[in-house]
This record gives sequence, structure tokens and C-alpha cells, in this order.
Amino acid sequence: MLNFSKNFSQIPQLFKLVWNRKRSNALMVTELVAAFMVLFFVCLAVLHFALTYRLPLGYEYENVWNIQAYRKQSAEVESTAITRQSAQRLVSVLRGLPSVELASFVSTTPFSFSHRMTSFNRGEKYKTEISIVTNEFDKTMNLTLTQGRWFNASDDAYNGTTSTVKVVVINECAAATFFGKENPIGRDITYIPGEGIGKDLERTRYRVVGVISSFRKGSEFDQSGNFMFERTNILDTTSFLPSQILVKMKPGTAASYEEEMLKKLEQTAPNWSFQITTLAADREKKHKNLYFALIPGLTIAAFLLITVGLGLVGVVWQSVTRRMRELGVRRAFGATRQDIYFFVIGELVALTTFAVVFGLFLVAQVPLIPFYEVPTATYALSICAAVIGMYILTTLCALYPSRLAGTVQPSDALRYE
Amino acid sequence: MLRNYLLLAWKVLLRRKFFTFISLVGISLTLATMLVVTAIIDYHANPPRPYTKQARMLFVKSVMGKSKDFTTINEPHYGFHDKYVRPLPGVEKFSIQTESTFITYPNGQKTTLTAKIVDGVFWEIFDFEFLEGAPFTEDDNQQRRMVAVVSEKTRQRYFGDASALGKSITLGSKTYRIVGVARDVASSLSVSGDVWYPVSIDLTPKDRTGVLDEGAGGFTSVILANNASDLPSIQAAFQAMLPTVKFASSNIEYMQAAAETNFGVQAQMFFGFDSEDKDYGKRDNATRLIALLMALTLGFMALPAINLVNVNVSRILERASEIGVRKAFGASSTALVGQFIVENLVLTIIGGAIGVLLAEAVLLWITSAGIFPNAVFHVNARVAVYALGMSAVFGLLSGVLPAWKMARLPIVQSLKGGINA
Repeated sequence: MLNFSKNFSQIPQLFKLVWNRKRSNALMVTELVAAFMVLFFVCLAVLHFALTYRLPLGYEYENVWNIQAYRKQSAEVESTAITRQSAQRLVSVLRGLPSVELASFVSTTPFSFSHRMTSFNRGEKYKTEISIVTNEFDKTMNLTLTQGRWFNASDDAYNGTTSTVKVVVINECAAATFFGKENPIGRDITYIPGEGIGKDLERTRYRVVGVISSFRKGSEFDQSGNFMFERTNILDTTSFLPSQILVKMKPGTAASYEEEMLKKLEQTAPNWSFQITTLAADREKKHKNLYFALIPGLTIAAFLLITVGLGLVGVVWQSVTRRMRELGVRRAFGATRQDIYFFVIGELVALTTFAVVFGLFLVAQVPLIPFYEVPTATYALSICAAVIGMYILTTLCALYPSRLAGTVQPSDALRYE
Repeated sequence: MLRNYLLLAWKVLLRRKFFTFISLVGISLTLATMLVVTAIIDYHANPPRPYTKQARMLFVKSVMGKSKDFTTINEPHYGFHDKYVRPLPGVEKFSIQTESTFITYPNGQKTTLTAKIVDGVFWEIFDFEFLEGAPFTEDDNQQRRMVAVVSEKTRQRYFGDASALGKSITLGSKTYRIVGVARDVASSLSVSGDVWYPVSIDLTPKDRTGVLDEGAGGFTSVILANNASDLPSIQAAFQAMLPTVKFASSNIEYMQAAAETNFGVQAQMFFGFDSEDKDYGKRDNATRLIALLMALTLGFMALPAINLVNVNVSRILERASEIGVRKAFGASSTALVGQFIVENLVLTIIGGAIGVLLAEAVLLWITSAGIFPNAVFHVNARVAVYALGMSAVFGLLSGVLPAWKMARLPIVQSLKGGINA
């Protein structure tokens, strides 16, 4: 314990020992590299989801109910004007209910599995998710406006599919993507012409009237990507009619109220069919979907690491028993028990260092794989965690065999056959 | 000779119990993981009843429609299946289905019912087990009789333990008379549902003629062939039929689709739908998925295999003097390699057996926890054979290198026990 400096001066010698036996150590290093990669991906997954979870969602989902409202497949096609009138009636009936605070039509609800994406330019960076909403959406979801304004009745001028200018509110991520540090209010987002999109879309200009802080549609586990809200007025027959209604309920509304609400809706629009869920339930579903992939993956990774750990214990133990004589000689020449611990653990740590260096080289290739975008900080943190984890794992594995080696009596060891 | 090897192998395993334990933990955990995954995939690739005739079935699900402005991948309309798929040569039986969801409140409990809207032939292609009554017939379907079949679970929710026959069930604005109760099917299988009623009831004239751009979409179909060997010719006829499809509007230029086996459909769902996929419907997704699964299996096995190699190499060095003696008495390298590989195979097969038990326990837990509702998983004969094969591959993979190392040990040094290999 007292002469650690002596022990540390042995470090170069340890590396030399490992290097000299590189052929027989090659397989051990391969195993450790593979274990390092497993550990790295475990750390990456866990840290990524844990860190993302802590970021603000950008909206409130408590007490918001989600109504899917669509005309039945079997219903004979009714005129667009009639459809719009029943849509409008649905919203006014909902607002008239005593437990309802607000209701808004929306094309893509939070926690849903559907996407509506558009790409304004070449490259993943310019892909934007779009949701088409009515005026009340911001208050229904309690969005945080950071610049400009939310939609209002004056935007009716831009209504309809024929209008080449559409008013939009974007999140800060999209504002940074399209305008950098410049003020996005009043500016237009347009498509790059000649990219194979329709002629109508090519002419469309998306005019930014406001910026919200963030809108993580996926769930707490999804990163904040580009998001854009486009405004629609359901009474205008030429504009888009979303198929979902989000309803902000008064706090404390019982779940059993759903049945009553459904009856009201069916009476109001008999040619439509409805499904009611709560955003809280949708969120649960979305989370379960992630756990369904994550938990088996982590379990398998844990099995792999247990297997590797046990294997390491075996290999180190074996090498200790085989080298009893060498250790005995060391003891006879005055090496203390601590020196032996240090020596046995140190050898495995040296081996691990070789593996970690090689593993770091492999891990450096990971950002080149475009399958999932991970923030650089998370990536760096996972590398650190994996390196530390690797040393902890190997030290733990060498601990018991090193104790065994420490108990060797020089006289016994020298006789050992 | 082999008997001696086996005996020796057994003795060696008992001599170093800790090493045997480490090896067995590694092998059994690895194989158990693979077996659980395999058993779940096997269940979906070769599902139980009502998929008894699966070997003769082809499914037509999502199709890609290409228009000037955009591409959509959707389940097509009734008319496409009826007019173009039904008359294909080699089709013995043909059924068209769609589905819908209803929210009901039986006994005040909110219940989401998945309704499968099917024709009468559906019940001839899939042999559902009926607990009560019988399925509705094709005549019921043609005559638009308001009848329905409910699942065991739906009966439980609505009527408790009482019989459901002759009782009625209201879905949306329509009320149906229950004529049969079918045993529950695992909800991860595409045929599963909570209630079934005749497809004609909801069909409008426009739906009947619509192909892809008129009336309502969302229909799928099942083809039952006379023989499993007819499937390739039906698939070829299906591809030849596609260019002849006529659309209501001139907006749609052409469509791409495939009539696939059940496994092929699931493989396509696994790979996902990409509207920019130029080869949609033309790719052999089943083979692609199998290749991917095999690559993943090998990748997963690599680490435990290397681990076992390392443990084995250490164990051989420990036995250096034994090997020296055997060599000195004239044992050939081949004999030594053979002996060691047998030893390792014994170890992996014992590990495999423990793996099967572990896997069965995990599958029992998955079944009872209801992670896949109504599905009952087991290590069946097919999966067990696979386990045996995998154990053997694993044993060979991890045994060959150490055995070769062992056979090369120099005699003199091994006898002295001072190996530094």
C-alpha cells in the first residue's frame, strides 16, 4: 500500500509483458474489443434516452383528449360543404360541453405513430414535419411562443389550397435550420425548384409568422426535429380538413365521461365515426413501443457482458494457477501481497487498454453511420462511460483470482507442479 | 473409441467444476436467447390454427400506386381484388377482407373492438375453432344478412360465461345477430379480430368497382391454391395482370404489388414501406429477412464463441502434461483434435439442453405475461432441432482453434508442464 510509486513504475513493464505475448493475447483482445462495443452501444442507448427525456416537451398533454373523427368508408360521398358544416358543428358541440375548455382540429397529434414529412432541400437536415391545425391549437396544447404571433382570423387571407402563400409557425429548431441566427418572422420557406416535386408545391411559399420553443411530437424520448404548423380554416371548403380533434378537458373530468361525449358526437354527425383516447394513454402506448425494443436489447447485452465477465474470471484464474511458480519467485524476492494483486489486475488492465484503443478506433466510425442522429455530447459521454465501465468490469473480474494469487506462499509455489 | 472420448469428456467436466460452470452459463444464456427469438419468429412464420392451410395461401395487401405528382402505398379497393385477383388461374378459393375499429361500452366498460369484415369464403380458407354455433356463409354475405361471429374474449366481455348465440351486438349504428363464437387467436397474427361480419353490408356500388382511386380502400385478399406448388405460377400470373389494371382517373400511371406468402407479408412489414422504393412488390422479402436474421444470429454468437475459445485455450494449457503423456505414447494429432472437439461438443450440447429449459421458462413467462396477447409459445420440435444444430455449430466454432493449439503443443515442454504458448 505504501509503495504505490514502485507499482506504478511497473506499468511500462506490464504493457511490455502483454505485448510480448501478443499472439496468444490476440483472442483475448478481440473478446474485450467486442465487449467494449457492446458496452458502448448500451451506454449510448441509455444515456441518449435518459438525457433526451429531461428536455422540455414544448406542450402539455394532461387533460387533453384525442378524438379521431372521420367520415365512414361506407358513407356515400356527401358534398364538401356539408362535411365542413358538420365538422364545424362538432367543434361547437364540443365547446358547449361543460367539461370542455377548448377544441382544435389537428392532422398529426402528439405521441402518434404517423408522420407527415416534407423536404425543402436536399439533405436530411431540411426534412420538416408538418401538422395542419386550426386557430385554437396553441391554447389547447399550451405552446410557448418565443417570437412573433400565433395564427388569428387575419390569416384567412391565405386560406385554401389555391393560395400560393401559407402562413406557418415553426419551432426554434426549424428556425435555426432555415434562417440561422436571423429573425425568421415574415420570411418565407420555399422548395428548391426542379427536385421532382409537383408544380403547385414548387410555387408555394411558407410565410413564418411565429416561432414556438419546441414541439417534440414523438414523445419525451424523441429529439426535437424541425416542426412546422400550417393553419387551416375548416369552414373554407378549399382548405384541408384534418381528421383529429384535440380537446382540452377541465381538470378532474372522469374517464367515464368519454361514453357521454361519444354519444353527443355520434348524434351530431351520424355519418362519421369516432374514437376517443387521451393523450396520456397515447403517450403510454408510445413509451411501451420503445420499451418493447429497448428492454430485450438491454437484457441480451447484459447476458453478453455476464458471459464475458465469467469467461475473464476463468481465464485470469487459469493464468494465475499456471504461473504459481513465477508468482512464488516474485514473492520470494520480496514482492508484497499488494504487489501481486497489482500485478495480476494490472496485466488484465493493460490488455483492456489495448482493447479500448482498438475499440475507440471502431467507435470513431459510428458517426459515419447515418442511421440515427445522436448529439455529439451524448456520444462523447457514452465513450467515456464505456471506457470507465470496461476498466471496472475487467478489474472486478481479476479481483478474485488476484486474491488467490496473493495467498501464494513462496515455499508452496516453488514446489508447485 | 468414441465411448472413451465421451467418458473422458465427462471426467474432465467434473474435474474443473468452475470452468464447466463458466462455459455452461455462457453457452446456455447464448442459446436460450436465440431460442426465445427463434420460437417467437417461428410462431409467426408457421402460425397454428386457423392457418392450417398456410402452405397453399397467398396474400395481397398493400399496393403502390404511382401518379404524376405522388406515390402512395395503401391497401387497394374492393374492385381491384374482385375484378383482377379473383380470376387469376390456379386460384381455388378467394376471400376479400377489410377491417374497422369500434369503441363500445358493454356493461359500462370501455372496449375497443377490432372488426374483421369478411366474406363467407374466409371461413373456408381459415379453419377457426368454433366454441359455439358456426360461421356465417357466403350466402349470408351475398344477402347482406346482419349476422356476426364474435371471439371468445368478446363473448366474455359482453355476456360473461353465458352463451352468445342469437344475442345481438351493436357496432356503430348497426346491430348484428351473433351466429358463432370463435376461439381467440394471437392478436399479433393478422387474421385475429374481436368480431367478424359480412363485407357486403358496408359495400357501396362505387366500392365494388373502385380499384385504387374511387370508393373506399383498405381491402386485402387471400388466395388459396390447389397445391402449394401452384404458388409460383399464381405469383407470375399476378405480376402479368398488373399492367392490365384500368384506373378510373387518368391520374394514376401504374401500380406495383405482390401476392406474397404469410412470411413474405410479415417480412415486408418488417422492412417497412417506402414510397420511393422503385422495386416495391418485386423483391423477395422473405429471403432478405432470413438472410438478415442469419447475419444477426452469427453476429450475436461471435462474442460468446470467442469467449468460449479463450476459456478453452486456458483449459488446454492446464492439461499440457496430460497431452504430453498421450503424445509420448504415440497419440496422433488427429486423435487429440478429435478428442478435444468431442469434449467441447459434449459441453455445448449440455449447455444447449440447459438453454432449451431456460428458453422454455422464458417463453412460458412471455406467454403468461401477455406480451403477445393470446399467443402460446413453446420450444417445439422445429425449434429444438434448430437448437441442436446451433449448439453443434457453436461447439465446432469454439472447439476447433483450441484443439489445433493443443495438438501442436511440443511434447518435451508439455511433459515438464512449462508451456508458454
